[in-house]
Parts: sequence; structure tokens; C-alpha cells
Amino acid sequence: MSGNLGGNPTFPAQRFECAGGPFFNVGVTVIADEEFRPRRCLWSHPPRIGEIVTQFRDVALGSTIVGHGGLYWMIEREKKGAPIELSVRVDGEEVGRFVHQDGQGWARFEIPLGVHINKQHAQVEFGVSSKNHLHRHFCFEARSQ
Amino acid sequence: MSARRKLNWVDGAIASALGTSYAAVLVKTVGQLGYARDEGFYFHAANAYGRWFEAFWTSPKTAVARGAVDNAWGVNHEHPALIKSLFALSNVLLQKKLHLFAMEGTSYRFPAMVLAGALIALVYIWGTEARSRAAGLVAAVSLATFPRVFFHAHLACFDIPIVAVWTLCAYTFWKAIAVQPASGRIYKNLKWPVLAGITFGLALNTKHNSWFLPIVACVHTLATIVIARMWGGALSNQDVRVRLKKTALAMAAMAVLGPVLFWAMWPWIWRDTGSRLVQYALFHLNHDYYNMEFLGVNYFTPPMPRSYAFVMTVATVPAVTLLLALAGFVGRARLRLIMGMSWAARRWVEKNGGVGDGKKPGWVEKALVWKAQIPALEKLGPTGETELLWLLSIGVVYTAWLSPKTPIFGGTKHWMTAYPFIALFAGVGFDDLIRLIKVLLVSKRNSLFQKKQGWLKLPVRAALRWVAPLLGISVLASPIAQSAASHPWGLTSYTPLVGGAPGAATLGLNRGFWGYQTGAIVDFINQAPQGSAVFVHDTAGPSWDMLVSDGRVRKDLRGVGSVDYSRVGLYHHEKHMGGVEYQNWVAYGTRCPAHIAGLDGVPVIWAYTRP
Repeated sequence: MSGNLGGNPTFPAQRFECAGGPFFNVGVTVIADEEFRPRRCLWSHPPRIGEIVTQFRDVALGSTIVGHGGLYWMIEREKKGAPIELSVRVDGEEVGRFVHQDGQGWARFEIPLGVHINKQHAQVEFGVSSKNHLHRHFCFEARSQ
Repeated sequence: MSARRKLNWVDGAIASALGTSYAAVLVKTVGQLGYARDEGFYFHAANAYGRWFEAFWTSPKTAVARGAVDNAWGVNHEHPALIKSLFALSNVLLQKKLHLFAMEGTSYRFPAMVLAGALIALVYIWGTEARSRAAGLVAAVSLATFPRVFFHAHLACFDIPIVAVWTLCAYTFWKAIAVQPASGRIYKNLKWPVLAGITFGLALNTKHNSWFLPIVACVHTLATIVIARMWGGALSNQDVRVRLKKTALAMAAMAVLGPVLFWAMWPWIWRDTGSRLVQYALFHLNHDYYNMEFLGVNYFTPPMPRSYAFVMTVATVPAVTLLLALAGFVGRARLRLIMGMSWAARRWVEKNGGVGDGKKPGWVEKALVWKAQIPALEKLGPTGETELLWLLSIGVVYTAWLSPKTPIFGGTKHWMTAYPFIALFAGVGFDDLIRLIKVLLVSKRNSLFQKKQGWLKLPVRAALRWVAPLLGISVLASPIAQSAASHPWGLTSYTPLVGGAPGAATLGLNRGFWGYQTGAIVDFINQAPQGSAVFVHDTAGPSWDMLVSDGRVRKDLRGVGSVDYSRVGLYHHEKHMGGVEYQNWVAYGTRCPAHIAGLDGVPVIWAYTRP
């Protein structure tokens, strides 16, 4: 499902859909960043209330979780949307939080893992929320190193 | 002030030949050009207007009823009606009744092509009348071969029509204000003032660029009078009075006939005139900002780059034409400088009457010597009032792009109304160049004669005869070649000054917009499996439908607005469109295009296919 001119990126055929309609899904897509370069990422549109959560099990961790988050530039360049919060949790404990403001573009985050460093079978969660979910086409990528 | 040449039948024949052959070339080459996004909207509007014309023909009373008028003319009412009416009439009469064209779309485009031909003929006429046949010819062909003009001249849009009508209005205004010294008979011939009024009405009904015309006319009037009065001698008091009256008459005709004609020819404003005109004006005054790449940056909101119009002009108008225009301008500026200095020198001498020859300042001595050149240079033409009108027609238009709020999304088309006047100055520059070379050749001949090498006179005499044609070929060859090579990628075309299309792409200049490039890859599209859906990206639905009507795209292929469920996905490259390309990647699971097309190795449109 794609948005054509100026619309949302294509939602891949393989995706996890949550309640609220097709926009509230998690799936691998490609967005255009502030220079219109491609960024492969996990689409993660926050819901009206609460978070949209993506959970990974049996993750081998390094010392940090490093990633990037942003929106399709055509959406965030207007700088009219609410901030988006990405909460990173390991084994149920929040290890860090990344806040994306419109206009930042494809922005980097790095979260130290503290007591979870070098765990071999961790459960990692990414929770995305926003105080106003309108047009919050958030997409992120992350890895542990 | 009377250096206006009388035209004869030869000029009429040349103008007709130029106009007709240009329109013929456009018709001949149009089949390779896809349909621009905006053309699709104008086809839709023209069809609505066409149905109204047919209804008017059968039942005029019903057709002029409010509901019927608003239903038909409410379509695309953000632009006035004249040109779309011509598209409609051409389609109804020339295609549906006479089946004149091989492709349906050409019938809509035909009126703009005819106007393009008329524009080229008019530029020839004006250049010839104001300066010489050589100037007119070079001006006309130069304008015809601005690659961007050549591109836009094919389209069923308003951009070339407004250039044609604007130039015609300026020309009629120029004719209307012509002062024959001490003639005095102002109201005897009303032809040109009335024509100025009519053509202004046509311009108003063509495109909103026409709003700049009164500015040009007013500034021109004020400036010519001020200059004449200040310098003295150029116009007598009586001439100034005649000028004022003639100008007032022309402007009155424009002020009265223009709006009346505008109203009469645009049924949408027949009712609720005031509020609808406000709506029309506000649409353009508060126009959305679309995206445009310039030097690698995607602009979508103010401040816009102030250098845009100037850099793009240099990057898209053949350098030889710009150089000739500059030479033409500098040549005439030199004359006006000499006139100014001569006026100042005369004032100095009047003030210091008793000063002997040897005691005058250097500039006064020089000015008095140079003064002798004035009559001959003035006689060559154009007149000062003509130069000023041409200059204002360039300056007023470009001035708009000094504002950081002026949108740049339309590329060069928005200031194309200035191009005929750049071409006219190029014609003057060309004529100056011929004269200069001839003077050099004559002086060479004389020196040979003095050296008793009279046998060499013959080649010099032959050379004198061939100066104009050879020089003409040399200054027109490159623009002709550039225009020919640019087709059908007009908006990707850039001059060698920026490295052509590859150089411009490297510099980050826009490679094209409007999605017209689909027409260039119809052979690839037609290889799609039976009944396939094709994601048309930036090509408007009606533009795609016209490719199908033309028979250029197979009837079983469906143009769709989303890559979902499509078999072929098009991508028209623009910097800000990257996201649309990635929609193809995710939908088809591939980043490898199945087909790429463009100009000189610069990719402009590419297509993905579902594996």
C-alpha cells in the first residue's frame, strides 16, 4: 500500500498491522530523508493513545544501541507535527529515549546499555509514541554494537 | 524618432514563411512528446468548454443560463478562458469534424503552435521595422530556437500563447504611440490604439502574466517623456504633447477595451464578476509553492533564490544569442550615453560660452566630437522609445524574480515573455556586427587599393556580399542544433555553458517536471503484459488517457495513480520525488529499473517492473 505523490511510503506486503487501520503497522520500508536519499527503516506510526511497540527476542547486545529515526521529509519539513518519542527497553527496563522533532531529518541516536552490555539473549523493545499522532510517519533503524 | 522602416510584401512573405514553417515543424515533431501534467487539466477543461460551445450552437439561450455556464466554465477557472477555448474549438472543429490530425492530442495543441508561429513572424516584423531585415530574421530564428521555447511551443498550455499575445500587445502599443514629428493628427487613425486595447484584452484572457503589461506601458510613457524633456531637442514641445495624447489614447483603449473583452470572452466571470475576479487574483497571488531543485537544493518555500531566473536564463538560452543581445544592448546604450554626454557638453558650453577650444575639459571635447555620430547611429534604429519598451519588457518581468517570495517552480516558462525582447536585441547586435565587419572589410579593401593590390578587391567585394548570410548561419547554427538535440527532452536541455544536460545534472539543476517524459518511453510501456496496470507517477490521468486516445499507448494498459497492484512503475526524476521512487522499490522488491531513458546519458525517466 503506497501513497503516490507526496504520500506515505509503500507499506510492504509482509507487515504487522495493529488496530486503527493500515497506517498503524510495523514493516520494513524505505523513506526519503532530508536530502531525498533512501533510508531503509521500520515504519512505526504512533497510535492516538499509547505506543506502537516492536519487540525483538534473543538479541545479542553490544555496549550501545545505535540508530536513526525520521519521517519522510515531505511530511516533517513543514515542522508542524508533534515530537515523536522512541523508548528503548531491554528486558523490560527503559535504557534510553530518543525524541525526534520535525526538521531534524534522519537523526542519529545512541543509547548506552548499562547493565545490559553484552547480553546474549536480551529482549529489546522499541515503543513509539506522540502526544499528537497526526501525520507522524515515523520510521527508524537500530542495531547494537 | 522616426527610424521605423516601412515593410513591404517581401517582409510579409518572409514573416509568413517563418511563422508557417515553425508551426509546421512543431506539428511534425509533436508526436514524440508526451503530455505534460498541466495539459491533462486543460484537456479536461477544453472538453467541458467544447461541450458548451456545441450546446451554444444548438441552443444559445439554454447555454447562457447560469447553471450551464457555471457547469462548463467553472472547470479550471483558476486560469482564464481564451486559450482553452481555442483548444476546445480546435478539437471540436478540426478533429471531431474534419479529422485533420493523426493524433487527438495534437488538435488541442494546435492553437498554441499556431500562436508560436505567429510570435516568430511578429518578432521578424518588429525587428525588421525597428532595425533591419537581417535583425528581424536573426531575432525571429533565435527566438524559435531557444530550446525551452521550442519545447513549450509544442504544448497545450498558456506559456507560449501569453508570450505571443504579450508581444503583440506591446507591438500594437508601440505602433499606437509612434510619433511622426509635428504630424499633429492624433485622432485620425485609431487603428493601433484600438488594436492595443483588443490585444490587451486577449492578454488578460490568456494568462495572469498580462498584469505586468500596464506597468511596462506606464513606466515607458513616463520615462520617454521625462527623458525627452530632460535632454531637450529629442522631442519638441509639440511632439511631447502629441506623444502624451497618443499614449493616453492607447492606454485608454487598453483600460476600456481590455477589461470589456476579458469579461466578454470568459463566461465564468459573467456572473458574480467582482467576487470571481477576486478569487482568480487571490489564487495567483497566494499560489502554493511547489518544489524546484536549483543548484542541488530543493526549494519549496520562501525565501527563493534571487539568482534563479538569471542563472537559468544563462543555463538555457544559447550563449551566442545572449552575447548578441548583450552586444545589441551595449551598442544602443553607447549611443544613448553619447547623446547624454552631448547634451551635458552643450549645457557646459552654454554656461561657459567664452571658453576657447583648448580650454574645454576632455569629456566635453570628446562629447562634441562623438556628437557627429549620433544622427547616423540614430537612423540605424531602433529608436530610443523602442529600446526602452524592449528593455522594460525584459526588466519588468525579471524584476519579479528578485523577490524571494516569487515562486520558481515553473522554471524558465514564467519569464518567457521577456525572451522575444532579448531576441530583438540579439537581432540588433547581429546587425551591428554585420556593419562592423563590413566596415573592416571596406577599410581592408581601401588599404589594398592603396597598396596597388587591386586584384584582391574582388574577394573582398564577394566577402561583403556574403557577410550577412555567413554570419547569420554561424550565429544560428548552434541554437538550431541545440533545439533539435533537446527534443523530446526540452526541460532536461541545458546549454554547453553549463556542460549541457550532464553538466546541469551535476550542478543540481532540475532535469524536468510535469511528467511529460512518459511519451518518450511508450515503446517500453507497450511491452507490458496484456491488461497491466501502469503506475504513471507525475503524469496526470487525462495526460495518460490522451496517450491512449492517440494510439501511442495500448488501450488495454491502465494508468493508475498508485504503485499498488501495478505491473509497471514509472518514475520521473526530480530531487523531491525520491520518495516516489522508493515506493517502487518496496512494492516490487527491487532497486533495479527495467528501463532508463534520458538525454545525453542523464537519466530522466525510468521504469520498474514487478518481478
